[in-house]
Amino acid sequence: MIVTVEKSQLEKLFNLIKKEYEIVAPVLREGVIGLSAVNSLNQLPFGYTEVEEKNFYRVEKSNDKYMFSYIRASFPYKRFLIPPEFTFLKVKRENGKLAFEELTIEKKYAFFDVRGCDLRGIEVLDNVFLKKNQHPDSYYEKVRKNLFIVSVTCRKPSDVCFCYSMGVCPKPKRGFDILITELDDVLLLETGTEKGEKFVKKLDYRDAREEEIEESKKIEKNCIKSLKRSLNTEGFPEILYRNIESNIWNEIGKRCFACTSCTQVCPTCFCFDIVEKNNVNEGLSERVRIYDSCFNPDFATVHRFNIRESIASRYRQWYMHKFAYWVDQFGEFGCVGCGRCITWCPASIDVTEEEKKIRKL
Amino acid sequence: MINIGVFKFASCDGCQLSFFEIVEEILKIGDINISFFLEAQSKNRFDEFDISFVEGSISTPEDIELIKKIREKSKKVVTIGACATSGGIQSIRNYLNYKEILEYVYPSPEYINSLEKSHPSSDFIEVDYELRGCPINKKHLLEVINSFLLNKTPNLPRYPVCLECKIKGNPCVLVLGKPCLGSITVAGCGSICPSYNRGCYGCFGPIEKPNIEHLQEIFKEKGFKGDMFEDILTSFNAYNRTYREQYEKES
Ligand code: SF4
Ligand code: SF4
Ligand code: SF4
Ligand code: SF4
Ligand code: SF4
Repeated sequence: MIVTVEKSQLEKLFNLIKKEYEIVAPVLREGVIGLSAVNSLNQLPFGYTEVEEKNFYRVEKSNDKYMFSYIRASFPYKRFLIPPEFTFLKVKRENGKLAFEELTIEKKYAFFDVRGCDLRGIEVLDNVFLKKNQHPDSYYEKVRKNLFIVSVTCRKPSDVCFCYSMGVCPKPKRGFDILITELDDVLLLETGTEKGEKFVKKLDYRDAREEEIEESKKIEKNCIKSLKRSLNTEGFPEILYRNIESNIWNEIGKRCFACTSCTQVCPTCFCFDIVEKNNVNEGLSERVRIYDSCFNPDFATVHRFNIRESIASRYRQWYMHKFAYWVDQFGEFGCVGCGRCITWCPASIDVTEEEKKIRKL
Repeated sequence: MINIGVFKFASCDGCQLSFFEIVEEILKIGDINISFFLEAQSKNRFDEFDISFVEGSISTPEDIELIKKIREKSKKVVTIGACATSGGIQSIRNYLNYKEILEYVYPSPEYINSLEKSHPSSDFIEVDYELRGCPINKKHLLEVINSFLLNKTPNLPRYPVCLECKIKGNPCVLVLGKPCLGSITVAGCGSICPSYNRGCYGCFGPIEKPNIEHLQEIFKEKGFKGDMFEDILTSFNAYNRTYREQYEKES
């Protein structure tokens, strides 16, 4: 259904969802918009906006009248689908025997305000962990199954966004339970599932008018027009394969710190390590799953030899995975154009600039 | 029963204090005998050790003899902290004129019998594991002891502080405008400083391939005062081999 509600109805929607889910939403904390479990709608950073550039980030008061004036959190929602670090197996010595205890993640989240890029990011992770995986990830599956998604159309992009290049629209077409588009005077609500409809029906709504739907389309068009960055994907995987031995990787390798930040802020990077934590005094062993990164020197270390010793080779792995290997693996790109890796790379490396250089090789 | 020795060279004793923080765990493990630990007990015996933990830098001729003896008598030698691993804060002198410093500090320098440089243990002996930090993380001590008992390699990070920082969910303070050495510093502390909204000042010492040149450029671009590498060379890990090599390359 497509309906309109007064902006004041948003709080009711939030509270209805809160009754059934643990809500995770963007919050402003110490000058940065992050993600956190929230209890009330006014914890969201309404009235603020981000200024983002390469290696630069600042939050300031927005100079427009919109609630959804901010853009997207500095971290992606993947942290709540797969926690950065969690114990999934405990083995204990009990009466001379080993007792095994499996731990699962019991969470019923509603993500409140997922933008187009992050929604697509979740779709990419669905393919990685479930749909295109012969061994579906039961931990991801469990949290994902319970997930409720409220998406929001972007009115304006940040200066680092390039979602449209990656086939992502600022006004999502699928994958949400409810989509909110903030118009000048009202909110346009679109439902994608019955679960979403159930909530919207409890609001004070009326059918959307033709001109309201038009207005929402115009918002999307304007947002796309305001995108400052782009990345030309046409034939890009082939171009990358052709240049796999190029000197450009060494050149980037001189700038990159192999700090791992880009992989951690990326909504689609999925790599993790399994660590065994032994505790002799308690006769306890814990198996922990923890985020990893292809920039970690241990990542490609086999029998004490790191096959990606140079930073250049690690950067190449990252870039080629996003824009070439991922296509072979999953039939799509591993990048959704959220631009986070551009903002949060402390070495000022910009994936869209590198694309332009690689095309010129 | 495993036999442990804890030794001290030129240092502040801070890393040895970590043992007092894990007393309960050690007592629970039970099969541990600490036969040498001057800071903790009055009866000490220097015999054969399964693990010797070494704090402090090697800075006198006697130190060299003792560290070699420790190596001979120990199955595993583990350095604890920035002094034993990288020369410590006292290795600032390694880049200065030794004689001048000696005269400046001591009224009668002729009584001082010290090495010209303050060295990490690894300059004289083979070290099995190095625990980084000023001070160390007590979790790493337990990891080494547990791993020895289980006959496995301890899991000590080689990645930079940034990964820990991101796992914690911190925004990058360097991007936000504060000098941070996290990207060239090895993890293990749990990214304490960025978690309190401050830059890492590198007390865990360098990762294997620190990109010092470019980080220095970024520091300049961001308008941070002073010379980043010079600051590293007047800090806890000044004589770490990686920084030493970089210094030699530059001069
Ligand atoms: S590669 Fe960069 S721009 Fe692309 S999805 Fe990941 S963080 Fe966003
Ligand atoms: S780019 Fe690196 S960290 Fe990200 S998914 Fe690929 S291999 Fe993993
Ligand atoms: S590209 Fe940037 S964020 Fe990624 S590892 Fe290199 S320095 Fe870090
Ligand atoms: S704050 Fe420091 S440690 Fe954390 S990501 Fe940034 S550079 Fe790395
Ligand atoms: S963040 Fe850096 S300076 Fe702070 S404790 Fe950790 S390694 Fe030391």
